[in-house]
Amino acid sequence: MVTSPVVNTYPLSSYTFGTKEPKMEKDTSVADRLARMKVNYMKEGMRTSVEAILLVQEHNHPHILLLQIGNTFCKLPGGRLKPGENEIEGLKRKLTSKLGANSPALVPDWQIGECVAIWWRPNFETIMYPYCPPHITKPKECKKLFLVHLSEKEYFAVPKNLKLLAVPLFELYDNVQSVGSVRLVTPNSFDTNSVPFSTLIRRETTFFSGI
Amino acid sequence: MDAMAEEQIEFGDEEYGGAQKMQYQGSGAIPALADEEMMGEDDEYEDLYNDVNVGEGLLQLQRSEAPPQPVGVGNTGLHVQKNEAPERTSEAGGSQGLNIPGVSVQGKYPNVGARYPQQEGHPAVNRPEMGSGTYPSGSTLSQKGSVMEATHDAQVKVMGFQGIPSASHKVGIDPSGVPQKIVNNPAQSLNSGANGPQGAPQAPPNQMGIIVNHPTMNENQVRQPIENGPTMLFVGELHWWTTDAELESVLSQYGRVKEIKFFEERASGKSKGYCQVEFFDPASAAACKEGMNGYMFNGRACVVTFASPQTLKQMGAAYMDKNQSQPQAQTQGRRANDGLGRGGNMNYQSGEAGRNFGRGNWGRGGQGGANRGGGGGPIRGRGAVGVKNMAGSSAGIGNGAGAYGQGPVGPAFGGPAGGMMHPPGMMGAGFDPPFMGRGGGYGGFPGPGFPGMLPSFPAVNAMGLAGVAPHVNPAFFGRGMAPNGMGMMGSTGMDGPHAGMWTDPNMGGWGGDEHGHRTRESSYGGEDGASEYGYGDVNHEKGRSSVASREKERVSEREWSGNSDRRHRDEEREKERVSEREWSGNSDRRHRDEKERDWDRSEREHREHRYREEKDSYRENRRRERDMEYDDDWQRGQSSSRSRGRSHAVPEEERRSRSRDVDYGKKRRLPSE
Repeated sequence: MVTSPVVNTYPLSSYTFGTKEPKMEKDTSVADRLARMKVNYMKEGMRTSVEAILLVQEHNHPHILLLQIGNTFCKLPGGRLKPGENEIEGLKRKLTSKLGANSPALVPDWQIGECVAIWWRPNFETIMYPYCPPHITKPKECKKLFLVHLSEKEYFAVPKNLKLLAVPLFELYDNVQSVGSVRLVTPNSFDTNSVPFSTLIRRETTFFSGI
Repeated sequence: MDAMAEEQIEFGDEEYGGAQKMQYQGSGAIPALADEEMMGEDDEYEDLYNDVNVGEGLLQLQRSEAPPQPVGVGNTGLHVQKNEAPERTSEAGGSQGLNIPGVSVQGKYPNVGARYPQQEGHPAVNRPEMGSGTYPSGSTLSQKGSVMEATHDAQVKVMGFQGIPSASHKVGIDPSGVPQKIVNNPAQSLNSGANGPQGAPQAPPNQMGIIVNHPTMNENQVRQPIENGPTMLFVGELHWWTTDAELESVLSQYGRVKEIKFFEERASGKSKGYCQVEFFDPASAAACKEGMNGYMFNGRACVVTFASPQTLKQMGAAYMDKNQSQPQAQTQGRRANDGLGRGGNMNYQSGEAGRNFGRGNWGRGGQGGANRGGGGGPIRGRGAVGVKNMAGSSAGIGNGAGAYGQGPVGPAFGGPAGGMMHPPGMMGAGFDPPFMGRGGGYGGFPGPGFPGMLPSFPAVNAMGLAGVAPHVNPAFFGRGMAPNGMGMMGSTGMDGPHAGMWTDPNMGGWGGDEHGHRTRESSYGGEDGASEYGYGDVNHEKGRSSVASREKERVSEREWSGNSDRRHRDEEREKERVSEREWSGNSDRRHRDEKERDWDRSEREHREHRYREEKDSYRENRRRERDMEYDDDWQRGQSSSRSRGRSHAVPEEERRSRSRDVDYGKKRRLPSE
């Protein structure tokens, strides 16, 4: 795990994107997803999921790589951890599953950075908050977002049924709808001195102070 | 016999799936079945049995059936039962289980007796549930026992029912059952209290038993609240920090809890101070309602009321259940009054103690408000209008109102502010007429039906609780807006005090629409939609219709917010919310009163001007967030599975249109005003 708070970002063009077999969603609808979540909760307790923030630089502005399902719903690459699984390892597993090529030799060596945000799901609903509400003692899910340090050259294999988008930060700022429920960071993420929603970006290094 | 047999059969069918049914049908010997149940047969039947009160009723039947059964009271009862069981089974002819149970029961009794006083009384017989002769297995017994115990104990403590619990939660049966039990189980203290019939000697109980059984059976069959009403309750007047674990630990004393669902503000996740509780069996629910009402959670007395179908649907329409909630509401109202000194009791329907417009108090920190609950109810209607006003200026009102901005919040606020709401404020202290109308609705709880419940607000808003960004949460039922709501709002980061207003749960609260007022005013009700559980929708509808009656203010208000266009329930809700919010910023929700409305309106307008600009900018930013939130809310409340994409797309569009509408609306309004 990389502990540096500085993330180097490279232009999108320095990365190569290929395709691979489709990776279908396990649930066909929100209701299904919540129902499955409920079942899993009964079996395993609170769900822990991890997501990765992969950044690229375009037009002198950081962009985040999102996977788009269909034409509307976007999400960060990541997913649910197995019971007892380590977060970092689990995230690497998920990244490989979503964006890694089928051949192990071509899979990037994921450098997982620090955790920049934690979101909580108090009920079996779609809504999540960057904190656990005080009256909830048993949240249903805890989602952690990690920064990923990409190297200059990487190869990503995107499942055929998904689209990989590089979404500029400004699109995500206070604009949850446009990218669906992608909640990236909490106001005080990244840098303790940062002001919520302020982003300092430089060409090759990205110093995030909240997204 | 026939009757009994029939009953049993029915019972069996309903209750227990196939196995049990068979038994029933076949065996007229209820007792046998009962025994089985009591014995605690398979785990799988536990739940089933819980529902069935048969125990009591059956016993009775048994007795009647088995004349030889001696009094059966006391020990003999046990024996008798045993005898009966076998007999019954034979009678039943079909229920193999019966026979077995009978036998097993006997053996078990000793164990059972220790556990459930009741059981002793009725040797398994009463438990129609018995179903397959699993009883024989001691384990089952224990299981049942445990279940029963829980219920029994709970019941015992809670209600006089006690007797009943053993059988199944059916309350109805209790009376009959109880006698039986008592007789058999000296331990049962309940019996004494609960059942009149008890006094009657065996014979009468038997008779009753029969009758009783019947109802039980029906109940069991349906597994619905039936007799005692629904298994759903609303518990309100809680602090926002009162956790689900705390609640569950107290609730479980009354029976098995199926689910606890808290109402939260969508934008922040903060608890609104009330929740919906579902028990597995109606008897537990009834017991809980009686026994837990007024229980102090973290130093605040809660309110427990039944959830009427409407409220259940609306989630917030707690008020709908007038019958049940009325009493509560009234209680609440009273409380509110006391607390707030509201004289205003606007009388919104639910005995709201006065609208307490406590609005000001609503502020998120409404803790003091406590009353709010009461006020909330009636206020809801007002809320709508008032809320708006509140939003803007609530400061004057006591801030609580501010929160209400939502409009409906109106009255509700009164309560919470914990007196913040100066009485005048209540009514109209400056509330815009429109709000007033709505206010009633807000009661904050749309769902809980506690008329007075304004749970969220009072406690939460403890004035000064800036906590949650009210503005974000349109649905906030008057809750959030801590009296200082205005100030609080700031907390959310919104600029301008009004920000806070929006979040006023009040808006959300309206969902309740319980009160006539509310619905009408609920034009703003849309906001409450946020309150997550669907009340928003409800409100809308109601609001719309009622609005007309309300007055033109509302109408005009609607225009402002551009809600009118959006009224569509689903999508529009969001919009309304947004617009509502804007409103709130503008107007001081203070007035919740209808009367006040008129003059409030003018004030409102002024305020609007002032705040409009602030709001606009603010709104834009917020809108988006809110939109999203709303979507979530809807999903929540409606349990619809809208695809993400869809929801997203919609908000975007709406957002844009909304802003336009809103602005448009505002502009229009001004000139008209």
